[in-house]
Amino acid sequence: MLFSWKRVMSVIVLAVSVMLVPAVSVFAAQSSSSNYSVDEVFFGNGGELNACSTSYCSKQSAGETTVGNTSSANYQAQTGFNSNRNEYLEFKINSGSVDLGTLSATATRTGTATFSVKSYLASGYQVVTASDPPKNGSHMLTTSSTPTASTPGVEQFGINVVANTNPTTFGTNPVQVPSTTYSYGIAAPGYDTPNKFKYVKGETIASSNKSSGETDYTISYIMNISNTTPGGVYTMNQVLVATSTF
Amino acid sequence: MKSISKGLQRSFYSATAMVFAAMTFLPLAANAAAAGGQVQQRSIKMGSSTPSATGVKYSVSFKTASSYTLKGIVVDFCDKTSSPIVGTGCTAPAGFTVGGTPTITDSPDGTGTASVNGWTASSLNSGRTLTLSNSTGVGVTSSSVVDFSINTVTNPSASDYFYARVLTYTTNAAPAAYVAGTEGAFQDYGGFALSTAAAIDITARVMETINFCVYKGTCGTAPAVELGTGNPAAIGTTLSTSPNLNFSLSTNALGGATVRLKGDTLKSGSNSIGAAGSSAVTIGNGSGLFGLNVSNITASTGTMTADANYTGASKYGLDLTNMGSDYGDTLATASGPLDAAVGTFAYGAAAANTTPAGIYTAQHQLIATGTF
Repeated sequence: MLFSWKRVMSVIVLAVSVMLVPAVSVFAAQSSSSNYSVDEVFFGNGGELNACSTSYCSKQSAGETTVGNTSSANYQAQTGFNSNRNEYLEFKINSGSVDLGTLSATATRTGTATFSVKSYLASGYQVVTASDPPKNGSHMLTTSSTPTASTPGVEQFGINVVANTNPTTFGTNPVQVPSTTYSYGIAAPGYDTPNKFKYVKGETIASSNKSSGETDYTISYIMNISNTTPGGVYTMNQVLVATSTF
Repeated sequence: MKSISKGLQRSFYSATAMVFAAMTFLPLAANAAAAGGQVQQRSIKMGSSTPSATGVKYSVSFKTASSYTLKGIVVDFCDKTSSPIVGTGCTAPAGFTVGGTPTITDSPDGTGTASVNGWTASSLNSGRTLTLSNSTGVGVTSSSVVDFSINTVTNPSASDYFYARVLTYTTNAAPAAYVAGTEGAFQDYGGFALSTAAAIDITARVMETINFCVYKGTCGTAPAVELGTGNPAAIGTTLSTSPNLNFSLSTNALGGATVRLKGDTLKSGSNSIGAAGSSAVTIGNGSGLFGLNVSNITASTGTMTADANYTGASKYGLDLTNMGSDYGDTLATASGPLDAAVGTFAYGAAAANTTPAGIYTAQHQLIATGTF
């Protein structure tokens, strides 16, 4: 016999079985044209989505031909078996409070706070400071809209997101975790000049222009008062808002 | 011959399998294409990231993926155990709501090109889902930007990430029938990730301050003066004036400050030289009067004004009634904080023909009070 009908029927039954399994329409197109799309393409020797021991789990792959982020001016793709198809944003404030103590007209008071951001499948993110500067009753500390050096005796509240040496050594440049190979967050323009400080409510203080692993940021605060800065307790409930664009 | 026929068999089986495989996958691919596409440049900007914050504005922005008349939009918010992937279930983030009666603002930052102004906003799923609909709709292409804010959001109660999905429809009735996982015939779609976070509490203290000095020449030099001429200095019936004295005042008192004068007129035992009085007057020859004049008050920040009773060219005052009260007579006032205010004042006196001889002295106190 040139061919076996039994084998042909086996193939047909198998294919029909596949057709009869309800197709769950789940839309997270990774690659698409006008008429077609494919999800989660993988060329390799295999992998394991959820390999676990008692305390740890891992996603594994072997023999992948290409992994990581690839991008052009208008598009990007995350390649590899272990790529996740969920948009992702993780934003954490690591310092709950900052107390700058008793302010003085003769010396600057400084403080720091930290936060971290990571975002996946994004074309970038921005972190905006959404609060008024410190105030006591109706009196709000004076701020500068341009990066300005600290001047004792002149009322001033300002921040930056870099390491400083003046008026003292404080603050840290953005730290890429685990390294600059995977994380790309930066201090935003205006908040990226050492020893210069500004504050404008609603401005972006940190950002990335692509998907990024974790970046740890340190906000450096300065406060100066004049002889006429009203007495009292100055407080600021600083709300930071992280927004990713996907 | 046998090997050739076996090869042909294998080719036939493979071809058959491939045909059926293609038939299986074609419907799936066709389903994804028929829906339109994934919206691009999509973001949801939160007005506040504080957990449980109310009245928060969420600015939703996306670029449509295809050309059609947009008549309905669904934005569905899901917790982190769910997924931003359309077609899957969605559980509301704890504490979250778009509001029972949500309101929107079209293109709050002016970037929208496809207006949803006037569209009907509603919520589904106990506030988890926002729906927008309009019977006329708006024409969109693959480069149209839809941009609107949801004005009535309550943030999730947990400090954590959560998701959202957006779907667009070509009918205005479709959004009301939306169910996560059974979305109906939507056009474009997309997922978002958002995050709430704790706020940073910043505290600092400023002490109330008042720095006040009374001096002759420089602060620290005793403000002692003699009136009269000659050696020893003596006053006659013509006006004698003292050298200038000063007070300096700096204070952060938001309500301002007052300088008061306490003391008595010039006395020698039971004899006295009369006080100039409660109005500034000219001390004439032989008048037998003693008084004080504030000639000038300057300040680098703020304004202090001398009381009218002690001002005027060659005019002097001395209100013994108030000066003898518990707190003294007002010499100068400021309505707000002062920095480096300096007042200049001097005394004047003229004896009467009947003023008994003697050494006449007076001790005056200047008292500064801030209103914080």
